[in-house]
Amino acid sequence: MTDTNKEFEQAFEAHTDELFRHASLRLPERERAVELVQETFMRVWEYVARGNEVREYRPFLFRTLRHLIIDEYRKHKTVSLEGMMLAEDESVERLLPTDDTNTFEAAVERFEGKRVLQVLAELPDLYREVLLLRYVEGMSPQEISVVLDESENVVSVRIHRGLKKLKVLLEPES
Amino acid sequence: MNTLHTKLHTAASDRRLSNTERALLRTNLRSHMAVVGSTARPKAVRSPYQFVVMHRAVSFVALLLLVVMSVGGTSYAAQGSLPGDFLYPVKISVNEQVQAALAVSPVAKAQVHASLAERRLEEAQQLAVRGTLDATTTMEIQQNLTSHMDIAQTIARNIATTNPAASTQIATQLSSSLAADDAVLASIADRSSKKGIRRDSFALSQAVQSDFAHGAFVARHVSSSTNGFMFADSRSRLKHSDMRGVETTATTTPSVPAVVTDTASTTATPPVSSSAVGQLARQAKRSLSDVQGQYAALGGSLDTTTAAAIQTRLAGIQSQLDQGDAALTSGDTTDAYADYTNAIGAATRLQTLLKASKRFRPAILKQLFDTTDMNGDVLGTSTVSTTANDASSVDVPSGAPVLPGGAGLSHRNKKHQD
Repeated sequence: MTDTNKEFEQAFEAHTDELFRHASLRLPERERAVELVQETFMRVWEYVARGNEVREYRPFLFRTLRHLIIDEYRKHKTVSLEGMMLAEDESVERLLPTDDTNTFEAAVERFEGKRVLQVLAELPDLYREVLLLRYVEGMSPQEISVVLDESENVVSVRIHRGLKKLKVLLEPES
Repeated sequence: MNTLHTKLHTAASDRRLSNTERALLRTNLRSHMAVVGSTARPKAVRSPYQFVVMHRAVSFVALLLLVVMSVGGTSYAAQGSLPGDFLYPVKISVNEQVQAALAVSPVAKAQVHASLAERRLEEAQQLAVRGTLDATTTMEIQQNLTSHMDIAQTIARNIATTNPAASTQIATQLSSSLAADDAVLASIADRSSKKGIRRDSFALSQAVQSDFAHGAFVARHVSSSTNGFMFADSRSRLKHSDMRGVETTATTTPSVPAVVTDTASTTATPPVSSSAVGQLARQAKRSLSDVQGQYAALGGSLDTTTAAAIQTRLAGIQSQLDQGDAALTSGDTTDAYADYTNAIGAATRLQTLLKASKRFRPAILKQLFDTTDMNGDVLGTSTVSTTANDASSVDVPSGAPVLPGGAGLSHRNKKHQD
């Protein structure tokens, strides 16, 4: 029992910052982001306290946070659900040549960091989410696939498309 | 490590919890852990610690600030202070910041900021009455006013497509309340024997007007006029001689920078959705009943002429609403939208004047009620008739709306604007 407590507290210390960072980049209001982070930990604690095991806290925490954010959007309807759920068939594009993604990454990289984050906020949430996880939190496509509960291929395709849209949004301004 | 990751990770590094927030989270979590415990069943009972720990829905930072501040009566005492007073910084930097932080939704935030902008003008009025309005306090007031006004306008602009009715409401209430308070300020300054007061209040008025126009925008489906800022009545009362030596870049009718238009709206305006019209209609009706209630609460404190003028205005607003309802029934959503917008503007204006009537001698308000109509247009210049009106005592072009192209309040007012 003490082990679980300890593990959980360690997870708190280790992941609070990144959870908050992610939440604050997805939600318009900072206070709400703080509240959702607290809610995330409380729910995960309740889950653990019921006797379930959490092997890896990081993806599990992010997954919980993600569901809370979805609920938040539904409540406030500030983002159209279509914008969120919109996924043109992602299974069609099979494994993409990695050069392609690298090209887009390089293109986006030319812009100032703050500006990129700003423009990211304009993308449909579907892409924003995956780009934040990949390029702000530094998660691998495999980790992201656990968080989103999607296949790695879907994740890669989404990242690729997200980068492409991001590049398009960034470029007219430069 | 991926270089794009490094870059964006760094760019986002300022998004962190403060130590206080983190500590608070930790404490809350620990309480929760203690209550839920590690035994099997999910709790069905809410934690008894909840009320101590803070309800999850409440904003941490704001509450923390409130707790800190309410020790001692400083924040309470600061509330009535004016620019130049010792406690004024507490009012501006503490009380009002908390007030703004407590507003969660964008609409609520916009309303808080709009009311804070209005409060600045009310302070200017107080200073003018006391004869202590000067260049320093004017500057202070103007800067703070503009920043709150900017925020409210920005929010209105941002929600214009997703929530047009709320956006229109915010913009209209902002412009109407500021214009009305400016008129009161001008009326007070006009009576002052101090030339400095008249000069400084005029300068403040100019600056606010210009800043407002700078941030104003034209919502796509609303006729260009409904977001205007009508200064007509306030200018008309200032004696011309006071304007010599006032350093403004504009002439007596300031040339206003072009209103920022939505670039997509150059051709046909898209029809406004029926839900937006419905929402605006409800708000318009609420505005009217609010001001009716306010008037009723004033009881018999007003003289008969003013009371009659107010009643006429109330009737005018009601007929504007009726006009809107009629337009809606015949399917004219754009016209209906304009009618409801005008009704909100007129109701807000009246409300602001009634609020002012509690602060100042009746004579000041009486003048405004006698010389302007419910939309702030100077009486006598807004009819179609071409007979010369008594403009001899008015040296400033009055009734002139402050929008390029002279588009006054929507054509639905059936008034002739030059």
